[in-house]
Amino acid sequence: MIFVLLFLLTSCHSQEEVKPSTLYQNINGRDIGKAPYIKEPLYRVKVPTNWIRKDLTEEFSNLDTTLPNVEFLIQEDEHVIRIVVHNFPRKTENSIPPKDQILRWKNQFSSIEPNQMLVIPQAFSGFSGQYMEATGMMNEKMVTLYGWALELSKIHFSSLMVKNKFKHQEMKEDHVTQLTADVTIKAVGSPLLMKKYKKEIYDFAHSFELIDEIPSPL
Amino acid sequence: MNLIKKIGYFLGSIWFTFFLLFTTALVVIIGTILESHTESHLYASSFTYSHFFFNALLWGFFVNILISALRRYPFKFRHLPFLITHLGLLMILGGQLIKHRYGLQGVMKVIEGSGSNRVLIPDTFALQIEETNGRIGYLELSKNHAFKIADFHPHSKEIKKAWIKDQFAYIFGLNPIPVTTSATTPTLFKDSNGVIWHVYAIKTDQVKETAENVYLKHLKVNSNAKSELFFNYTEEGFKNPCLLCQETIALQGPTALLNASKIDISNQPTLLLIDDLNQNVHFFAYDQFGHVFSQKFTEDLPSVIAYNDGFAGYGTQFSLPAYFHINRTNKIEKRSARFLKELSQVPVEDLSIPLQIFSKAAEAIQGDFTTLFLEFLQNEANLSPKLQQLFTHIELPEKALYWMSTLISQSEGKLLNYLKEKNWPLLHLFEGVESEEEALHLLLKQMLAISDQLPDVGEIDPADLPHYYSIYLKAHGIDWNTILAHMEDDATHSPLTLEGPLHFSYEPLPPLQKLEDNVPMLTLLLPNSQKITLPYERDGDGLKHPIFNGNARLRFQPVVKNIPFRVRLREARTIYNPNSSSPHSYEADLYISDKEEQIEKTISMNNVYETVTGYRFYLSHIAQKEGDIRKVHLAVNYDPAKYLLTYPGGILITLGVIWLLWFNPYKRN
Repeated sequence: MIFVLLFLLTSCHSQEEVKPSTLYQNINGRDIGKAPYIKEPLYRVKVPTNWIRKDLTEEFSNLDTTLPNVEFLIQEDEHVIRIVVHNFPRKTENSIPPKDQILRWKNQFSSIEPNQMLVIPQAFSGFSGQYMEATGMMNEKMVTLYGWALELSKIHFSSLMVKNKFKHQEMKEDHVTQLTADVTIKAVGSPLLMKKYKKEIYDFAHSFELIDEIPSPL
Repeated sequence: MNLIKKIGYFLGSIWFTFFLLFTTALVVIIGTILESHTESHLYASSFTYSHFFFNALLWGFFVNILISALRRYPFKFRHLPFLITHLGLLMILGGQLIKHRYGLQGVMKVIEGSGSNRVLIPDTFALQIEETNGRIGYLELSKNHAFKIADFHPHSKEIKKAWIKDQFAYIFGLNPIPVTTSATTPTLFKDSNGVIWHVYAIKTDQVKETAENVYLKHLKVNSNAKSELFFNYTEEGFKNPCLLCQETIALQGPTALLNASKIDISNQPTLLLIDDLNQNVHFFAYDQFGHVFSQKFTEDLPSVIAYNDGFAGYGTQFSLPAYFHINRTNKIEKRSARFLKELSQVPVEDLSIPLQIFSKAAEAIQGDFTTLFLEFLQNEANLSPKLQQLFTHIELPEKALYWMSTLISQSEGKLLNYLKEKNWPLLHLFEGVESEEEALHLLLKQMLAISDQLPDVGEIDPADLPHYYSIYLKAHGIDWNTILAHMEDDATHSPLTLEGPLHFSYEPLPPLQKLEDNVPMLTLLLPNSQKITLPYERDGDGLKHPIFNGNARLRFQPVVKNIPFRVRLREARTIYNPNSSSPHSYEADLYISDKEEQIEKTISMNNVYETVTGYRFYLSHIAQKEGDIRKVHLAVNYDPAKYLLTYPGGILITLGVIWLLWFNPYKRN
């Protein structure tokens, strides 16, 4: 009897969802605007293997911050989700606050569906800022946007700017400027497709971090 | 020899076992009672588990078990389960003794984005020394030979004092200012803007009275009317200080000095530091136009300045607000200019209705909308010819405004009450309305909605139109005093910022029974004959104090041990119960790496991580501020003998006991 029960209990199985595997990929920073346009790896992020990646080659400069550091595409039939990562190097503590980036994205919509906008604070990997989620009309199409506007937390910014925290390492000023850059991660696509890939995109964003460990301020 | 035999026999005897068991139980009971009574595990363990006597008991058990086993020699097969059990016990005890000596139990703190390989061992004493090149070293106090300990107290209180120490006030850039009991002879200094300040440092418990008297001493008002000062200084600072002279003139904040009667105030620029004899310093500033500002410096300073990252000491800061050194006329001029600029940048279609109406009328007379509008706001009682011309072209909802004006004048400033008294038919729409401004706005909307049904008013006197327009603006929340009050001043020159050193002193106190709350204090005599007193920073993250002329910094804190793993924190998070703000769980995503590899692991409250070599990481605490990065406390535990002795010992005991009980090798057939 016990064996029958055990057999019945263990014979049931549920179809497991096949999730794409992810791999760590590096994302480059920005070049200094002089040829050859060498872009050094700065960040790393876990990317599902079925995403398509697009980078600028060394023939082109990405000093212009309107150009993304990297672009990923999720393609399904004729629908595409575009995910872009931008960084905004800065030399001083002054920067565009994350809430201003959120406002800029909000203004890209010609209209937003009622109760379809969410803005909440978020922090991970040493960055802090805001997360926005919205569905509405953009360029005459109904789209959903998931966006993260992040800046390196003040405690890390101060830590990186103070030389004696490096402990025998000497970092070039350009490199420090890149390390302390603000970051945005934005995904835009059709509402149905975005809903389907929401967790993947969320996990992608939350795996985003600097390759190098930030010197501990503690 | 007989004696040795007897002692040996006793040490391996059941009587010694009983003694050990009984004594251990007694110690544990005492420890439990002490801990529950004092709420201090440290206190209880200092008498019990951490005491050398308890250690001696453990060794006693070890010896007892060993000898009782060896007494069976020469061994037979039937002794095997007994020996296995005893071997297991010895292994467990041995494991505990090794863990006590060579193990590790501490806390690692990591911030999101960074990492650490350092573990703080609680309730131990060490000195952290940091050099200017970034090198950090630790010196366990028990092994310290570098510094002589001049004094040690188990519990103390740290007193942080800003500005005033003993008989002098200290401001960087000035000679020490003598502290007196009244404002007699000031110290003078000229700031970078050419303002000559009179500085006083006073010790008194009559803070408000002293500050007020100093303010009144040189106060001048350019009005023949009687004036009265309401200084309004409390323990929490100024609460709307003002001068009453024909009208109320604020002395602090964005509305300071602004008044319709065009009264100006003057005073002597003064800085006043008052030590209230309670470890607090009240810092007052009065400028030449009568502004006042204050800041109270208590022991709980909101921020501290570190000079050269703390190697040159610590200080505090007093900054004057941007509205200082701007007189009344300049304020109005600057704010008017800013208002004009901002108004001119707004497209007409984005303006509120009254402004659109005004703009249209201005266009009709080919006048500049923004300039004329500002002119109207500032001087609606006395219109220029251009404005008078404008009002001949303005298209207002005259009937509605006429009746509004009538109601307002009859209500004598209490519109809501008046409407209630008169049983206004649409009174139910005023539910929830609390302010007169809101009521005015709502009444306007109603009047506009029913304007066709309002009684006819005949020909409106054009001279009344500006008044009606003013009501129209007020009903839309547009009022020049309100606009002025909401505009901040940009400083005409850099506002004065003063810095002064922070002084630290320490007061020994009787130790608390809850030892965990004690703050020990240590005074060291350094090789250069410098004496330095340091408080115990239990969390290992307090201020480090400069020594050796700023070439190093020192902190008294727990011992720090490095482990052979680097732990990097990517993200820490709280998982909440569905539809609730109560936390369900806490998680942290970590990278744990040694020389060979790096693994990624998520640990949570019930999901610890253990390395192959026996280091265990528990998530014990997440310190988090909403929307900002988090700091995680990981409890780190290392037992070097766990897999070699403790666990195998347990297995052996189990096997031995089963063998003894099941197979009963001593049973006689």
